Amino acid sequence: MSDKAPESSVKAVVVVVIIAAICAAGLAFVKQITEEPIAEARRQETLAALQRVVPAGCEIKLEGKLVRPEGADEGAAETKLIFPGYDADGQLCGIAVRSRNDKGYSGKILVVSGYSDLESRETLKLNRIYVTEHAETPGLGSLITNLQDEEPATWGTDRSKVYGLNFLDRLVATLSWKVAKSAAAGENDVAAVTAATISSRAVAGAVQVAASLVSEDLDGLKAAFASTARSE
Amino acid sequence: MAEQGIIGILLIAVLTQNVIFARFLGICPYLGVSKQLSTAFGMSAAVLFVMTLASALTYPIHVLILEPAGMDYLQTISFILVIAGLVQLVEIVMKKTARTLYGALGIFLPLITTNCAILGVAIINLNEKLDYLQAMVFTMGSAAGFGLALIIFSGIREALSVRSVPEAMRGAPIGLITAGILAMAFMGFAGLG
Amino acid sequence: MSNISELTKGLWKENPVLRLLLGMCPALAVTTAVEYAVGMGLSATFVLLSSNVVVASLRNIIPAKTRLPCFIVIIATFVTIVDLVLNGFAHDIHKSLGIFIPLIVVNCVILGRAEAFASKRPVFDSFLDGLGMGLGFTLALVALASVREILGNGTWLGMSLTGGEFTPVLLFVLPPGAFISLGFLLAGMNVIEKRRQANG
Repeated sequence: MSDKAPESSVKAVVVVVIIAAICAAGLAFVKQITEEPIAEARRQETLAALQRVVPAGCEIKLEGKLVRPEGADEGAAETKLIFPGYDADGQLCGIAVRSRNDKGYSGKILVVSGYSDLESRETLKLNRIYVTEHAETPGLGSLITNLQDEEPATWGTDRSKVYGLNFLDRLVATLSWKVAKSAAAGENDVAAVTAATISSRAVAGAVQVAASLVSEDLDGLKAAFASTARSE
Repeated sequence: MAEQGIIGILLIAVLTQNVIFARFLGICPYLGVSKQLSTAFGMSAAVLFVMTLASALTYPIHVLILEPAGMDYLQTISFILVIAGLVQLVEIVMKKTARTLYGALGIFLPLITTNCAILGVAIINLNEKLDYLQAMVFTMGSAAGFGLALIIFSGIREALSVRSVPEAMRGAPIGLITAGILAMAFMGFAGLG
Repeated sequence: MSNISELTKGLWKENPVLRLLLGMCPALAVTTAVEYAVGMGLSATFVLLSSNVVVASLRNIIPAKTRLPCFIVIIATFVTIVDLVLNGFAHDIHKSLGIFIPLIVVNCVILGRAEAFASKRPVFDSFLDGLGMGLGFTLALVALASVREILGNGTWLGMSLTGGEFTPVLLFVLPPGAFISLGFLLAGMNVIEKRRQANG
C-alpha cells in the first residue's frame, strides 16, 4: 500500500467503525424482535418430536422431569429428558423420553421414545420411537429412522431385507434388547436393519436407556406427573 | 465430535468429514488453483496458515466476549472481520519480513478471505462444542484435508491436461467430475474414528 | 447497458454459478432437494439485493482503502438478519440450510457484485443487478437440485414422481453426486452456448 497522508487512513478506518456500529445496533434490534419467535419455534420443534411417539389423543406437556444423565458431573447442565402426556380428562396417558447413544456408525444418535399403558411394569408398552438426529450413511444406516411394519421405506422393495426397526407397540418387559441380524433374531429380539447393524445397535442402546429409566422408576414418575388440576 | 479423542478428531477432519469432499467448503479456490501441482502446494500452505490463526483468534472471541455478553448474533460479522483483517495483516507482515515466502504465497492470500472453509471451520469449532485444543486439532486437520484434496486433485488434473478431453468438458466440468470420483473414494473412510 | 439487460444478464449469459463459476460451495451443498435450493437462493438474493442497494447508496462515502471491510460488514449484517428471521419464522428451512446461512457472507457472488458493480453504479442499476444475479443463482441451484432430487430420491419438491417403480440412484444426493451433476450441467451449458454462438 502506498503511503497516503495519515489522515485519510484514519478517516478510512473511522468510517468502517461507524458503519460497523450502525450495523451492530440494527442487528441488536432485529435480534430483539426475533428472540421470542425463535424460542417458540424451538419449543414447537421439541414438542412435535415428543408428540409423535405417544398414542393419539395423549397430549405432551413440556413440563418435563429433570434427569441428570448418568456420569454427569455436578456442574453439568440439567436436561429435561422425560415428559408427561395427558389425555382429555387430565390423566397421565403416556411418557416420552429423550435419550442418546454415541456409538452410531458416524457418531451420536438422538432418539425420542414414547411409552403408554403405564399401569404396571408388565403392561408398560413402548409405543414407538423417533430418531431425531443422526449422521448415519444415507440409504444404509439412515434407515433406522423407519419403523418396520408401519412406514414402508422408499429404498427397500426386496422382501428379504429389513428396512426399519421394529420398535412399534412392544412390551417393555419382554424386550430382550438383543440386536441380531434378521435371520437370527428371535421374537423378543430387535432385528437389525440390513447392512446397518452398528446403527441399529446404537438406536437400541439409546432406547434401552430410556425404557429402563421409565420402567425402573414407573411409580415415582407416575407420582411426579400425577394429573394436577387443569384449568383448561 | 466432542466426545472423540485427539486422533479421532484428526482422522475425522482429514478423511471422513473432509472439508471439500464431505462438507463442500473451499470449492472456489479448489477449482481455480488446482491446475498445477506447484500452485496447489502454495495454496495449501497459505490455507493452513490462515485457517489456524483464524480459528485460534475467533474461538476465544466467541467464548470470552460474544457468548457471555449474549451477543451470539454478532458472530458472523465479527468472525469475517477478524478473518479479513487477519489476511490483510498477514499480507503486510509477510511483505515486510518474509519476502521470499510472500513471493510464493502472496497471491493466494486475498483469495483466502472468501474461502468458505476458513469461516466454516471457525464456526464448526463452536457448533460442535469442542474445547480449545480439540478445535485447534480439528482446524489443522481440516487444513491438512484441504491440502490433501487439493494436491491429489491437481496431480490428476496435470495428468489429464495432456490427454484429450471433449471440448465441452474442458476446465471446470472435468474438474468437477474428477472431484466427484475422489469424493466417492473418500466416502470409503466413513466409520473411521 | 439498458436497464432490462442489467436484470437479465444474471439469468443466463452471466449466470453466477453456471458461467462465472461463483458460489459453488452452497450450490453443491444445499442442492439435495429443490426445497433447500429455493430457500438458499431466495436468502442469498435478499442479501445480495440489500447489500447492493446499501453499497450503492454509500458508494461516495466508503473510502477506497477500507472498502472491503465495509462491504463485508454490510453483507454480514444482512446475512445475520436472514439467519435470525429464518430461525424464528421458518425454523425448518433454517435447520436444513444449517451452516450455509452464515456462509452466505463469503458467497463470492455477493462480495463480487459489491466490488465490481454496486460500488460504482447508481442505486437502481445496482438493485437490478442484484436481483438478476440473485435470481440467476437461484435458478442454477434449482436446476442442479432438480437433477439430484429426481435421480437421487425420485421426487421433486417432495412430490413423488415415479410412484415407487423407479429405484433412485442414491449417489446423486450424496457428495459425489453433487460434483458429478454440476460437472455435467456445466458441460451442458458449454454445449448450448457454443451452439448459440455458432447460430449467431
